[in-house]
Amino acid sequence: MSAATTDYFEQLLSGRPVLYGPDREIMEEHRIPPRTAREEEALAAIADPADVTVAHARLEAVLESAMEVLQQICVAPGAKWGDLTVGIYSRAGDLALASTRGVNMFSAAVSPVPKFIGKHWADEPTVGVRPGDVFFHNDSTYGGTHNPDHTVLIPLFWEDEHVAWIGTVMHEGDNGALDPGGFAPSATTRFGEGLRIAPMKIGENHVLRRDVLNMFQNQVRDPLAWLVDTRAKHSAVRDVEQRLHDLMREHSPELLIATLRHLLESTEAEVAKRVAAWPDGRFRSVCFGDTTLHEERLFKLAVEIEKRGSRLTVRTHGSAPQIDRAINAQAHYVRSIVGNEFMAFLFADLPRNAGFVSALEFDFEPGSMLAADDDQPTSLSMLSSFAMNTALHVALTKALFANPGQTVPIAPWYAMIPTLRMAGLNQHGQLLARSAVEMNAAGGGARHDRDGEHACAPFFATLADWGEMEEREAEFPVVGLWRRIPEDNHGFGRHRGGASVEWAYMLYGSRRFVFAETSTGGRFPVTGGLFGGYGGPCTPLTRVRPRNGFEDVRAWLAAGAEGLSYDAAKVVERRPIDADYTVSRPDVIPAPVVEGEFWIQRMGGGGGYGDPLEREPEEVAVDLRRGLISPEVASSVYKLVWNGDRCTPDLDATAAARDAERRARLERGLPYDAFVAAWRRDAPPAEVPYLGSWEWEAPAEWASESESEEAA
Amino acid sequence: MTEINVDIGGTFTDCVATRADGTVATAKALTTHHDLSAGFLRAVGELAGAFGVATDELLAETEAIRYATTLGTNALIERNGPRLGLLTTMGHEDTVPIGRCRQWGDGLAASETRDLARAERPVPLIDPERIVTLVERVDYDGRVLIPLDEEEVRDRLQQLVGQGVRGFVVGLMNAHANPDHELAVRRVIEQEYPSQFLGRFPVICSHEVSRRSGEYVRQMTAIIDAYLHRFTADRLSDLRDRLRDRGYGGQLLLVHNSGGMGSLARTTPVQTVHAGPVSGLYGSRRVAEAHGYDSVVTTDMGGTSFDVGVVVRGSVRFYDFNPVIDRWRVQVPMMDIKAIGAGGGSIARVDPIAGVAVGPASAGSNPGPACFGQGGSEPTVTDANLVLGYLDPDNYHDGAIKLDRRRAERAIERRIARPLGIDVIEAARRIRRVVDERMGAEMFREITVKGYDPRDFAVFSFGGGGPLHACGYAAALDAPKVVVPPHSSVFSASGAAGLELLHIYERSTWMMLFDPLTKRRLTDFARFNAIVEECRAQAVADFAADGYGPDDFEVTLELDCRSSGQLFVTTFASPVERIESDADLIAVIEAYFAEFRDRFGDLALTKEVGVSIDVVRLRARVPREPLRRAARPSREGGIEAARTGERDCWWTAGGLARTPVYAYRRLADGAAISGPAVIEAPDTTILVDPGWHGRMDEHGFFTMTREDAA
Repeated sequence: MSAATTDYFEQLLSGRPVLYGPDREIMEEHRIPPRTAREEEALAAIADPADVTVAHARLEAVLESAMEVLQQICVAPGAKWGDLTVGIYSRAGDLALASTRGVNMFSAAVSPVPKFIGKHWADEPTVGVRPGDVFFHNDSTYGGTHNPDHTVLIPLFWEDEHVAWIGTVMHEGDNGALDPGGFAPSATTRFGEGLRIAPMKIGENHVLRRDVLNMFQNQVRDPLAWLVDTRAKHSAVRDVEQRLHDLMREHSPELLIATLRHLLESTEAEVAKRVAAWPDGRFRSVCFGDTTLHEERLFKLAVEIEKRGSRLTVRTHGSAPQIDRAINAQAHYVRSIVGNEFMAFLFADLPRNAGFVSALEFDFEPGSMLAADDDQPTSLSMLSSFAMNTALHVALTKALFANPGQTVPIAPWYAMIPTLRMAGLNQHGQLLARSAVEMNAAGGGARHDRDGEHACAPFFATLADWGEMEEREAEFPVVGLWRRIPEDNHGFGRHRGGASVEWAYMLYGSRRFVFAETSTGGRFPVTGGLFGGYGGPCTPLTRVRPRNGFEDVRAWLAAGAEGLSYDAAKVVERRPIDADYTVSRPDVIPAPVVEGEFWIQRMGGGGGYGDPLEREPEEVAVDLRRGLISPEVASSVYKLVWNGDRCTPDLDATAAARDAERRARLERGLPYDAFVAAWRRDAPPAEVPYLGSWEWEAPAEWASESESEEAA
Repeated sequence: MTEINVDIGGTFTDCVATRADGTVATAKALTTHHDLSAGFLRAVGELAGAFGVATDELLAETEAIRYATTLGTNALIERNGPRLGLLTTMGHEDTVPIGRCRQWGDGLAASETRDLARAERPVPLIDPERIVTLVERVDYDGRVLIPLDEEEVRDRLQQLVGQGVRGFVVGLMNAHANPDHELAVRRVIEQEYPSQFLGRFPVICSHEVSRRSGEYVRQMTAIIDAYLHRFTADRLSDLRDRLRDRGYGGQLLLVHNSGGMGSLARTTPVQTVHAGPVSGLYGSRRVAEAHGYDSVVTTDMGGTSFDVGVVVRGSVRFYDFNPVIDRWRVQVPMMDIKAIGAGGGSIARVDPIAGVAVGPASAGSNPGPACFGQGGSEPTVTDANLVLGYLDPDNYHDGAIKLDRRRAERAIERRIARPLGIDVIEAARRIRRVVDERMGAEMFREITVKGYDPRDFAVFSFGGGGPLHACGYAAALDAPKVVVPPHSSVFSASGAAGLELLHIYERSTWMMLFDPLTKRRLTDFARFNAIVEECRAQAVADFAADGYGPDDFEVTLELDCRSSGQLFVTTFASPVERIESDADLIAVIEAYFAEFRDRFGDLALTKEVGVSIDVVRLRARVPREPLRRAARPSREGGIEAARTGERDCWWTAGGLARTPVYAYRRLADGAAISGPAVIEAPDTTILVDPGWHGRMDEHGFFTMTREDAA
């Protein structure tokens, strides 16, 4: 066959794909590409290094301003309380600077989107990339985190030169999936997850096409929110565009290009430099999830960190395989979770950008739950990847323990999202599909030198807000019966984890409404402890559905709410009204609720640090007085002996009780080999549906590069 | 008419007095925390001396004393308030300790809020063990779901009293919509613990400090009010009594952080917090009006911080309705002033990304910058200014502090220049440039987040360090004009001169103006008007107590509205006080659209989703005459008469140059100076950068204009 013939058929067969699917070359590459000639030229044009510093400060101010304005005008509840970001990307598509506040993962996960547009649409005659264009995206197989996160992106031009990208990502309240509220727990394929839009142009000449917006609105349950938010996002990126034009006019486009490149390179170099200071070694940990959203099933998320010189590799071998449930995660998203760990806990002083993950190596198993194929549902990828994060956190903390000064050893932060989702008509007759934001109240892990912070922040957005209950009650048809810290909702230890809250929402003022809930941890706790500290407890969902209508509930409340104990366990035990009481795993697909029905759920607490027997008796007594721990825990875990209502510790008796416990531990102790022999099982228990490896010896194919080299 | 305006700060008590003949005197005395009147009377003594009269004589002829203070802020920071107890709704007892989760970061610099491993909440104002609960509940619309049990209230009170509390805060869910339960708790407290039993302790109900929804911010407002109660109830009352003893017959008027003032009896403690800086911001507003500036950004650079405020004629956007006081988010309408850690004492360091970074850490005043020679070894902004030649080592703070250039050079050499491989001058230049840009960036953020264009703004620069950097941060902002007022370091005190008696009344509501989805629009005008009337009636009562009739004050109505579903509201001035017709309703809707469009742009405005009212706010004020600016004594001679010498200064444009130095006091009206130049005033140094031109006016304002904007 002649070359011409070969070319002809090559062009015919592969030149114009049927579908411009996710680009593997883009999705698998997490490193910052080499400098372009234009970037070299721009960096060479900078005579005064202070110019770059000054431009960096200006870019941060521009992004902070845009972020603040965007929060003021958007509707999506998650975004209002922090689940969004605004960023500037290099011309090549790498996110060079994200706003200080907001979700860290976006910094590492969204870069493939402008890269796709640049590679496939820029030269496509029917699309193109021109000044004034507006692009949209939400399909996570093309980049980003998961489908409820919607991206609006515009190219930044200076005269005729495309110099950068500006984008904003925001978690929307509904995505038109099988289930209302953004996520799609019912989905078993990607086709049940609602909108999944490959990068596409939705506007030209700075104008969003109304027919296109209408098409999107027609796909979601809350068309009002979608319209307001998409316009708000466009407004925000336009605002940034105007400010960057000012900067380039005042200085030069070269300064902007050079600054973006400098931020990427210097962040990557600094991460590598700091990692190089850690001790070499391999550090492992594991965590488990307990629901696939359709059934209870234990699935394994394993992490191994290998650190050699300035190279740090994250492996997830042995983790559960992908399944036809929405809990799968894609590799680029899992990389962004790793990036978040470095941004939020290790090197928080560095600018948030793609340089973090670029400095790291990854070794994931294709087809696993943490590196799922493109055809798998992923809208609740947080359920697997957040559990992986807990294992990652423990492994990294072990690696860092011998390297004091640079970072703070801290037990695992609660990393799950048990939040009520709601849809229907509110008390004002308006149609809503939103989620509450109690997931922002995650308990902080205990530090090596002090207790964790109660109900502090999600581990992926350092400064998030859960808003005011009174404002929620004015907008949604609910009464927040309680939102308080219950007993024993954290990890115990020498330093205890930060507790979180138990919330109870009652439907009130509407008869056409559904509640839903999506989380893991009903049976297997999400948060582990560290160095002898305890993990957090399990967090099942409790539902109380009155049998005799709302008037019965109203009368009970008006009579003083006898037996309302403000605690799920006690409510179930005392059964204060005639109702059906259900305790289940905390993932329930949207279910119609009757007025007066209330759902009770706990957010989890952070892990404890160190042996509880080393906790100061007075600190245990304070926890007991405050109701943070129950008398049973004070007695059985901390071995506290106390007197009277004010829980005054009896120091001598406590010391004696603790000595007795230490002796008992010694008596229970076994030599290591004996322990392994007693502990080891060669298969998971038959009654536990299980996903993941069960190998006691790692298969040869999991060997790290260094091990293979040693073997060779 | 003689007026005395006072700004009592943590260190100094600043006073500015104006007599009937227009003469002005200023005074500064150390604040005497144990007895505020001692420091104040010392400063008044200085003023009297300047006027050539006795202190009692000056006080006797004085008709108004306006008093701003930052002592409330200090009391919060020092945590020296009383032991308080909180009674709250069962199930919501952790609302205050949790503080909407984000509380750990409230009041911190953005750079301090990114590190979860170091997240730490401040010590609470109320120990969680002194928070007790009541089984009761009111819904969002004020309907009682669970009635209050007064016996339970008594039990809980006993519990608190047993813990030795010296004040009660009552914060119940939805009390803004229906305060009956809070009032019932107050009655029980007053019955059970009359004042003769526990002494003068505060009982503050949340609905009394705010009638807006938001249980955390409303309760925090009440807590801070109770926490500072002793400060206003005792110390300010004592001060008033001492002044009366010395012959003062007028009212002691307190500057409020709302930008108005009120009598002691009509002032809640939380209104006094940050009153000093607000006084400066308000003064700038009046001065701006007098100078014909529509848009002003005020900047106050001190030793450790840089305060920024924005004032735009006719706008309501310079208010923060949920400001953070110290580390606590509250619910009072406060003039919006933001502070960042950038001042003369801010420490410079090498940063892996930025090269040179400055602040927020500060050397403070002790040990202070390296050049102070008090043991400081870290390079600071003041060290950089000295090395670059901008400061006179022998004449800093009018010669009160001698500066050591060699120490400054050594600190910069060791910490910055050597690690970066550059010389000391270059390192100093970068320090200065970075701090100017940080300040410029903060100004930029404050202006743009309010929907304005920075290039439309004039920069007002005061405080000890502001005029030294003003051209630098104005350039970073691309602002064309800088105004340095006279008495720069006591400008906040003089700002109080123009304040008016002002009270603000707010009510949360939920009222749809129109809703395309349900095809409804507001028709119940009476409900809207009833809220306005309730606010007005309260204004009438409050002003009557101060001796003003209904015709003596003016009201304006503001509304907080939002497009459907938005969390944050847009505040705008309502074109009508009452809605009596569809035409009025349309006027209100259009005013909202106009404000939204002006602030956030056309792209973000989505009219088709509907608009609702969240808050009705009535602003009632007793109007005053426009500001009468005092002329300063005229000076003789031309520009050369003010020249005191020259010295070597390093400039970004042009490098090392012999630069003329002038004395501010000797500059004649109309004196024009082109940069580069240094102007030394007793309390500050004004730098005229190359490319800027300055001019002195007859009132002592020195205005600098960028060459390309002239």
